[in-house]
Amino acid sequence: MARKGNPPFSSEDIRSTDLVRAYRVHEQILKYPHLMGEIRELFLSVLCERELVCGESIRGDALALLEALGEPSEERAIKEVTGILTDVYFAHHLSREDVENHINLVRKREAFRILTKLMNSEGATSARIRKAVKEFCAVPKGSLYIQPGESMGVRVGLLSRFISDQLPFLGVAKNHITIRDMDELMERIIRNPRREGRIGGKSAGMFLAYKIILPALGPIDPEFEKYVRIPESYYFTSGFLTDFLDTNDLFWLHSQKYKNLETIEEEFSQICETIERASFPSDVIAQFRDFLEQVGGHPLIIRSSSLLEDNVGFTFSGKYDSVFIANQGDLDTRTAEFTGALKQVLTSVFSPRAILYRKDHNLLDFDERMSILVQKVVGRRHGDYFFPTAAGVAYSQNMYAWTQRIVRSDGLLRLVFGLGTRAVDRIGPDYPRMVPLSHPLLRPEVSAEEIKKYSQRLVDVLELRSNSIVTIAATELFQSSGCPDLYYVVSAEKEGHLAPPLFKTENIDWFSGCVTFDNLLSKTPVAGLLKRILHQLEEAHGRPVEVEFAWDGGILYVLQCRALAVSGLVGKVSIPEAIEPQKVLFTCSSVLFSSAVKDIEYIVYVDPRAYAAISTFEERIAVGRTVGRINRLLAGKKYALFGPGRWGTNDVEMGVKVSYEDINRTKVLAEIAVRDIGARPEPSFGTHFFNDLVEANIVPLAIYADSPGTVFREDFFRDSPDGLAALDPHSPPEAIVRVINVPACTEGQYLQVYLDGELQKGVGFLSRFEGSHGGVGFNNLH
Amino acid sequence: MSTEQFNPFAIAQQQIDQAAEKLELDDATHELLRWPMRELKATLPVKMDDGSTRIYHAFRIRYNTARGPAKGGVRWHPLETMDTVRALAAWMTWKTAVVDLPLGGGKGGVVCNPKELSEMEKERLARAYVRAMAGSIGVTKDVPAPDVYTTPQIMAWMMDEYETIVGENHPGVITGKPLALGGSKGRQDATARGGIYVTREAAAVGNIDLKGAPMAVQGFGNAGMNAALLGEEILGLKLVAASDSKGGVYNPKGISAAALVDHKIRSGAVKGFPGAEEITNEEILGLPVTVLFPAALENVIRADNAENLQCRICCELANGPTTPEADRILGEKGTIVLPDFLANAGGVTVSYFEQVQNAYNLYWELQEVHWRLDKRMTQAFESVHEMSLRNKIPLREAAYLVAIARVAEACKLRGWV
Repeated sequence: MARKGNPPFSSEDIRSTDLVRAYRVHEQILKYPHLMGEIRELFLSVLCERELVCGESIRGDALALLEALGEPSEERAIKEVTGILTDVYFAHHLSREDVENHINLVRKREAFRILTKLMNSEGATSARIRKAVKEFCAVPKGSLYIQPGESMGVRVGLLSRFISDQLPFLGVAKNHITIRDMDELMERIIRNPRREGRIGGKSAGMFLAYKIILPALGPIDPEFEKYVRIPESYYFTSGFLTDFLDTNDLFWLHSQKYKNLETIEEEFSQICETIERASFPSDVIAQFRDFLEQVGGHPLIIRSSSLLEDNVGFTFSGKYDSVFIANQGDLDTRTAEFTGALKQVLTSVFSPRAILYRKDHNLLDFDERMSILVQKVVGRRHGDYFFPTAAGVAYSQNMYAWTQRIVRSDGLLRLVFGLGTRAVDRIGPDYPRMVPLSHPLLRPEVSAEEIKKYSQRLVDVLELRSNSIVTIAATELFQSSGCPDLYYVVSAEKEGHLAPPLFKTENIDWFSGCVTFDNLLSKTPVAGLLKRILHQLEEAHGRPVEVEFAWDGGILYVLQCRALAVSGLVGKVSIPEAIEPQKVLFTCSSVLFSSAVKDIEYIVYVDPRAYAAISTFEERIAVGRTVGRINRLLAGKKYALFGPGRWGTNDVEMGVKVSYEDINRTKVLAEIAVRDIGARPEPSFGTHFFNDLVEANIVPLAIYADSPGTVFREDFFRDSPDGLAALDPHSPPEAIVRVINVPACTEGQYLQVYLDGELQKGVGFLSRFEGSHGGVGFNNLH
Repeated sequence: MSTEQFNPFAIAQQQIDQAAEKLELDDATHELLRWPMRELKATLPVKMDDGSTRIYHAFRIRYNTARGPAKGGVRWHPLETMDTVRALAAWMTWKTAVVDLPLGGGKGGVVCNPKELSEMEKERLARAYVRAMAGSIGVTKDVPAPDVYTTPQIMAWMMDEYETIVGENHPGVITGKPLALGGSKGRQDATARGGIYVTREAAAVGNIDLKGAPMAVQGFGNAGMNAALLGEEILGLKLVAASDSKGGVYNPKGISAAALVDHKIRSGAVKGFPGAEEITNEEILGLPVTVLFPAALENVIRADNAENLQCRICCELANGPTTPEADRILGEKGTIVLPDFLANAGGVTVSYFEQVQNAYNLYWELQEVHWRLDKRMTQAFESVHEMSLRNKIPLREAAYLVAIARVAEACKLRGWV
C-alpha cells in the first residue's frame, strides 16, 4: 500500500480482502451519491491526519495506476482513480464501523445545514423545524459528532423555541441538551391544534437535570445509568391553556393581576367558578382522550409548568397547584378527571398568593403562560393506595447542620415515606427524616423515644378509589399495605431497643415501628447517588440546587430541579465582639446561614405564653390574621417578627398559622421555643414556606429560650410599650401580638441581628443606627 | 428563662446532711455518706469514621457499695461533669436502698455529644469506655445500665466488649440490654408499674377508693402512657385527662387509655382526641382528680400553682416534678405525694431482676416479673410509710431516712464506721 513517503502502489500490496472491503465501502457511499465528494474528502482528511497517506502520494499512486492501465492522465481520470484509491485505503486501514461513522457524520452535517438554515429563516414553522430535527436524528448517532461549538447556535434556537427563552436557563441548557435530546423531548410534547407554546420552567428544569446527570454525549457515571430516571413525562404546551381562555372568552383574566390585592382576593372564588364552568374545545378533548388511552390507567400528576416558574431566583414554590389524579375507571371518567385537574392548575395562575408573589418579585408585567407537565406518579399500588417507598427534597447545600462535622456542601435530604407532598409542606406535628449527605445516618436524636417523637407519623398516599390524596397513620399503613419495601423504611422497638429489621421477612410488631429509613440509607445507594447528583447539578448550574425526587422499586426518579437564589453560604459575617451584655436581646446557637440585618425599627412579638394560653382554634387563627394586618401596616418599615414554635405551620398548636403574604414584609422571622409551651422550631429548610423566605430575603432564626447559655430577654419583648396604636389608631389593643417601636423604647437604638453560619452563633442586640442598606441577606452575600 | 447555675452534688450533700441530723448519725457515718467511695476518671481515645482520633473524658463513680455492687446508668452528655455524676450516683444509692435491693449506687458519664456521632463511632466509644472501666465494673462490683443518650444497643456493645476482655459469658455485667441478649421482660413499663403499685398502697392507707376514681397524667410519654393503661387495668382508675408538650385533653366522663395511646402513637400528640375538650398543661394540674401522675418534666408543680392541685395522691413518675416550696404547700393541704425516687424505682428494680436472671441464666415470664416487682414496691412503700408515721414527716423525707438508714446500717455492720 502507498504510505506517506513510500514507493508507489504495487499490485503485490493488494489482497483479496481489501478488494471486498473496498467494494463494500463503495456500495455504502453509492447510497448517498450527492454526498460522495464530501464523504471522500472526509476519508482523505482522516487518512492524512493519521499520517496513513498524504494528498501528494495518493495522487502519485493514481498516476502510476493510470499508467499501468495504459490510460491517459487526464485530470478527470486522476480524480476518479484518487477517489477509488481513497476508498481502498480507507477500507484497508479503518474498520467497517469507522467507515459507517464517517459516512454518517457527513450525513449529519448535511441534515444540520438544513436545520441551521431553517432556524435562521424568518417564517419557518415549528412543524418544519420539528421535521428537520427528526431528519437529523434519523441519522444513526454513531461515535462521531458535530462539534459543540458548531451546534451551539442550533441548540439555543431549539431550546428557546420549544422549552424556554429565559437566559439563565439557556446559558446552562445549551451545554447539556443536544439536538437529539430535543428530538426525544419533542416526542413527548403535546401541542394544541391552534396555538403554539413552550413547555415551561418546571418541565425544562427536570429535563435539563436529567441531561446533566445522564448526558447524551460524554462520560456517564455507571451507577447513574443503572439507578437514575425521570418519570414518564408529557409536556402540554402553554398553547392549550391560552386556547382554553380564548375559546371561552376569558382573555380578560390576564388583566386580573393589576387589580389591588383585596379585589383579587374577593374575586378569586368567582374566577374559580367561571373556569370550572368553562370547557375545552371538542378537538382538544379528543386529544386528551387519545393521550389518556395511550398512557393507560396509571395515576398521574398534573403539574404547573409556567414560563416564569423555576427560573433562577423565582421558584414560585407552591404558588401554582399540582394535582394528583387516580386515572382509574372508564375513559369518560378519566377524561373528566383530567380536564378538571387542568382547570385547577390554570385557576392557580389567578390566585391571590401567586399574583402577590409576582408583584413582590416585579414579575407582574411578564405575560405568564401556563404550560402543563403531566407525569406518571412514581410508586406502586398497595391495596387501594398508591405511593412510592420514599420521596423528598434534596438540597446541594446543607443549611441544617447541627454539628460542625457535617459537610454543608455535601447536601441535605428531607425524606418522607409515601408521596413527597409531606416533604415540601410544613405539616403538623410530623417530621421528615433529615439526612445530612456527608453523614447520612447521623441524626440529632439519640434515644428511641426521641427518635419516635421526631419521626414521620402520617403518610400521604393516593387513594385510588376516591381519587384523592389521603393522609393515613404510618402504623396503619405498615400493617395494612403489605408494602415489601417497609424493610427500608421502618425501625421497630422492642423493650426500648429501636432497630431496623435485620432481614426482609422479619416478623415486626408494626405498631411499635417508626419511620427511620435506616435500611434505605445504609443498604441502598440512594444517599450516595443523591450526593453525587447534587454536586453535578450544582456544578452545571453554578448555584445551589434543589431537587425533588422519589425512590421506588430500586430506582431513583428525579422529579424536579431548581437552581436556587441562595448564595449566602459563601458569605462571611463576623459577630461584633464587644457587645455589652445588657444590650443583648437574644442569642441563638443554631444558625442556618450567615446573615446580618441591621437597624431594625420595629419588633412584632407574638407572646409564646399568651399564645399557649389561648384555648380555642378560632382565637389562634385570629392571631395569624392580626400578624397579617400588622404586616400590611408596616409596609415600608424595617421590622422583625418573633413568635412561638413554627411559623407557617398548618397546625395552630405548633405555631402561628400564617401564609407568605402575612409575613412578606418582615426582615427576620424568629421562632421561639419555650419548653412545655408550644413546639420546638422545626428545621423547615426545603419546604415551600422556607423557599419563600429565601427568595424574599427574609432571615429565619430559631431561639431555644430555655437552652443553657441562651439569652432571651422575655421582659423586653413582653414589657416594652406597645406601639400598635401609634401605627393605627383604630386598631384594638392586642394582648397577644405586640408591636414595639424599638427606637422609641430604647432612646433611639435599633435592633441589630448578626448570624454566623460557620460558628453557629447568632445574636440580636440594641445599638445606635449603624447605617446599612438592607443588611446582608441571602442574595447580596457573595 | 435564664438558667440558674447550681451544683447538683452540693444539693445531694445537703439532703444527706438533713437526713443525718434527723437520724442523728454519728459524724464518721455522716461524713462517709457525704462522699463517693470510689471515683474513676478515664481519657478515651476514639477513632472517628474519617480516620481522625478524638479524645473523650469519662467517669465512673461507685458512690457506696455497702449494700451490694454499685448500680447506675452511663450518661453520654456534652455538659457532663464529675459533680453531676457524683450527685446522681448518690441518688442511685438511696433509690436502691429504699426498695431494699441488695445493691449500692453508682453512675457513669462520658463528655460527648451523641448527636454528632455515627453508629460506628458510638460503638467504638462504648467499647473504649468498657476497656477503660473493665477492672472496675463487673457483676460483683458495679453494673452499668442505660441512661441519658445511652440505648439498649450501646449496652449490648458494652457487654460484648466486657465479655471479650474477660473471656467469659457475663451478661449481668450490664443491664438494659436488648431482650435477645439477656434483657428482662417487663422493663418497658416497669417505671409506671412500680408507681401504680405504690399508688395502690398509698390509697389503701389513706382510705381512698380508687375504683372509678378520676386520674390525670401530665406527660404522655412512655411512663405516662403506661401509667394511664395500668391505672385503668390494675387500680380501676378512670383516665379523665392527659397532656404532652403540645397540650392536653380532658373529658370528665372518662377517656379510654388504650384509645388515647393509640391516638398519640398515630398522631404524635394527645390533642385532637375525639370527644375531649382541649386544656393546657397548666390546667391539667388543677383538675378535680383523685390521682395525678406528673410524668414529664422537672419543676412543673411550683409554689405558684401548688394551691390549685385538687388531687388526693400525686405520684411523681418524673424526676423532681415538685419544687421544695410546692412540696411544703401540698403537705399542708394533706395531699399524699409519692416521692420520685420511690415512685419511679420500678425501673431500677427490673434492672436488678435482669441481673438476677442473668446470674441464674434462667429467664422469668412476664407475670413473674410483675409479681416480684409488686412485692418489692409494696414493701418499699410500707417501710417509707411506717417511717413517715413514726416521725410525723412527709413521705419524701421518710423515704430519704429509710434509704440512708439502710446504707448507714450496712456500713456499720461491715465495721467501716
